Formats: sequence, C-alpha cells, structure tokens
Amino acid sequence: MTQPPVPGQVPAEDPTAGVDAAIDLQASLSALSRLSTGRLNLEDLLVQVATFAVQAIPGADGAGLTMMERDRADTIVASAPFVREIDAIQYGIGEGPCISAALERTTMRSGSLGVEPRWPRFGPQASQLGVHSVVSLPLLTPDGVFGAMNVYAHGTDAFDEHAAHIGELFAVPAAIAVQNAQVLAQTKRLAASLQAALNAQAIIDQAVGILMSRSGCTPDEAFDRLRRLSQKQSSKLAVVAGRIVDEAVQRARSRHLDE
Amino acid sequence: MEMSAGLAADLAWLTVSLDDPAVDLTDLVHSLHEAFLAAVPSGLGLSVTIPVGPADVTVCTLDDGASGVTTSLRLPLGSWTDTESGSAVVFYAAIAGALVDLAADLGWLLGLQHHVVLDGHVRPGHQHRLTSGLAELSAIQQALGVLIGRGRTPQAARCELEQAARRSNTTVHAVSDHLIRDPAADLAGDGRPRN
Repeated sequence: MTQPPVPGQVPAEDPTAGVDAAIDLQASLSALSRLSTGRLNLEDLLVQVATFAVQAIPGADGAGLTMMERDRADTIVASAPFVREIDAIQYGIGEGPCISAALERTTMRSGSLGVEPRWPRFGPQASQLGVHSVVSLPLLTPDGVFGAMNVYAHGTDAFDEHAAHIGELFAVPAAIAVQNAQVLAQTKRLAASLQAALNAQAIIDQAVGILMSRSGCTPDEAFDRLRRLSQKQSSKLAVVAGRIVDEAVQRARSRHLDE
Repeated sequence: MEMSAGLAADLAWLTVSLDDPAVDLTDLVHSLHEAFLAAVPSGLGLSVTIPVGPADVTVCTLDDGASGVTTSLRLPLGSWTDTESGSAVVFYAAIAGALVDLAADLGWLLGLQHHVVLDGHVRPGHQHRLTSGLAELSAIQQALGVLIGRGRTPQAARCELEQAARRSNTTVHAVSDHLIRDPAADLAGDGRPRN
C-alpha cells in the first residue's frame, strides 16, 4: 500500500523533474527489453534489472531483487553493497517492506524507516545504516507473487507517490523479464545436467557390454559387478566404467595395429 | 507437478549414473516445469530432447495433458547450453497464442529469432509420455560394449551394428537388443542376428 507523503517533507517541486523521470523510465524500460541472457547467468541478469530500476525510479540510491523459488534458497541480488546489507537484515529477522510487499501483494512505501511502526525491528536497524526511505514492489504473475524488488534511498521521504507509481510501471516488464530469464536458466541447468547424465550412462552401458562379452553374464549381473568395483575403488560409477572402456579400446586398437 | 512414477524412476536412474551429489534431475525437471507454468499460466508441460549417438532421448512432463495441447514452442538448445547439436526444448500450452510472447522474448534474449518454431509440435505423439529413447540408448551402448570387448574399436563396432541392421532390414536398436540377449551371438554376413 502506498503511503501518503508526510506534510512538509514532500520532495521539492522541479518543473523538469516529470520530464526527466519519464525519460529515465523510458530508457530503463528500453534497456530492460534489450536484456540478453546469452552470456549472462540469472544472477547477472537480475543485477541488471535492479540497476535499471535505480535509473528508472526518481530518488533511488540502490535496488535489490528477491526471488522466491520453491525448495531453493532465495536468489537475492543488489545493485549496490549497502542494499545487500539492508536486505540481509530484513531476511535475517523475517520482517520488512519486501516481505510485507510479497505477502500482501502490494507496493510498500516508507520515508522514515527509523520510526516506521509497520517494521519496528527492521526500520531502526536500516535507519542506523543511513537508509531512511524504501519502496518495495511485488513481482507478480497472474497466479501470484514470485518475488519482490526493493528500492532504497539514504534521504528521508525520498519517494513520493509518483516515484512509487513509476516503480509499479517498471515492475511489470521487470517481472516478465525475470520470469523469462528463470525459464532460460532452468532450461540451461536441466539440459546440461541431462546431457552429462546421458554421457555417463552411455559409458556405463558400454562397460556393462564389455563385462558381458567377457563373462557371458546378463546386463543386470554386469551392472552389479560394476557397482561393486565402484564401491571397492571409492570411485564414481562412470569413472570406473570409463577405465574399463578405455582399457578395452586400447587393447582393440593395439590388436588392430598388429594385424 | 504430479510426476509419473515412470518418469521419476528414469530420472532417478540417470541421477545415479551422473553420480553428482549436487544434482538431482528430478528436482531440475520440477523446477523448469514450475518456472514455465509461472511464465505461462496455461502451460501444460515441456519436453527436452537430446541426441546420443543414433538414439534421441526425450524427457517430457506433459503426461496426461497431451490431449489439451493447442500451441507449442520449440527452441534449439545446442548453441546456448552444454548439449549436443540437435538438442531442443519444446514448451506446450492449452490456449492458442499463449506462447507468442514467450517465443518473441526467448528468441530475442538468445538471438535465436529465426530458429524458434511456434505451433510446429502441437501433436506430441506417443513420445510425450515419460522418457523415451533411454532403453534404446542403453541397448545400443551395451551392444557396442560387447563388440569392443570382442576386440573391435568403437568405430568398427558402430559400423558393424549399422551394417548388420542394413543387411537384415531392421534397426540398430533391434540388432543391439539381439546381441545383448546373447552376447556370444555372431552378426552373420547376411545381416540377420543369429548364433
């Protein structure tokens, strides 16, 4: 929920501020659409998204992204070291604007963290580190929330309603970019591991075949023998299998040369 | 995701072969499936196909949702993952047009705009269930092992299987199956597997 600015502490009016903010937002959204994961890992890409958020949102000094992944530790990235420090406090004590934004699926804003009643433990600690303003934006999908973006500033009342609105505009394409990046990152991890497993399986099967040809045993018996060898030698199954295949291939090649 | 017992068993088996305590293929399949459903709410599942020698191994999470597929998105994997050329991932969804944005974004992100195939795989066929190709891969590799054990080089072993398959007008998998059922069998000159 967006909080109204405290009277007397509204950021000073600047006739060019609206135009500049629009240009910043446009530039950041444009940069967001050109994100490329080809040479980046998921964490690098999230850092870029956080950096673009700082450029887009007026008054921001730093931003961080938190992903909520099932059965996995959250991926937390930050555009600046102080953001990581503040977020660590938040997740350490289990209280703060990001957690509230994710739980309530709505924007959280504060301009006086030191006396913020919603986060009585987090607020004073952030304030002691010189961070007084925050806007936390949930990253939403049609099915729910999958993360949140925290934008921080050192000054008090750094974010007005307009800044929060710009943050919300930015959070929509940011959420899509992050989700697509997650699909790519997970695809990459699965594909690489599956390929490695299939390569290992192929070597293991060749070794099973070699043991079968030597002793006339069944594939199951050959595999059991291989597994016992692996346990005895305290080596991975694929490593033991690789040795058996290499020796047999070397013998075959020398025999071929001799003929 | 409700993972079928067959798919879970195959992934567990491959995880044992990989023998890396940091990797559980079941978890990785699950995570990708969940990430895809988060990005595309009408998503039904996905398949990853990797060629290993003459066998194509496919892991698929589509299962019973196959009949509801109305749109698909195929993305080649070879250029941006550590996989063999010819590897691909196909995403399936229930609502026509649901994959258009994802296709545009992923194609752009990877610089593969001209290699993304939209709606070219809306009939996943029998291969959509569980994993396919694993049994074929095992049989062929074991048969290669039998021939290497008899003193053939890997290249010669591969040629022998292929020639036997051609002569007997059958597949390399069928010849391999015969050989591993009877490791002493001779792949006779007329191409028919026999003792």
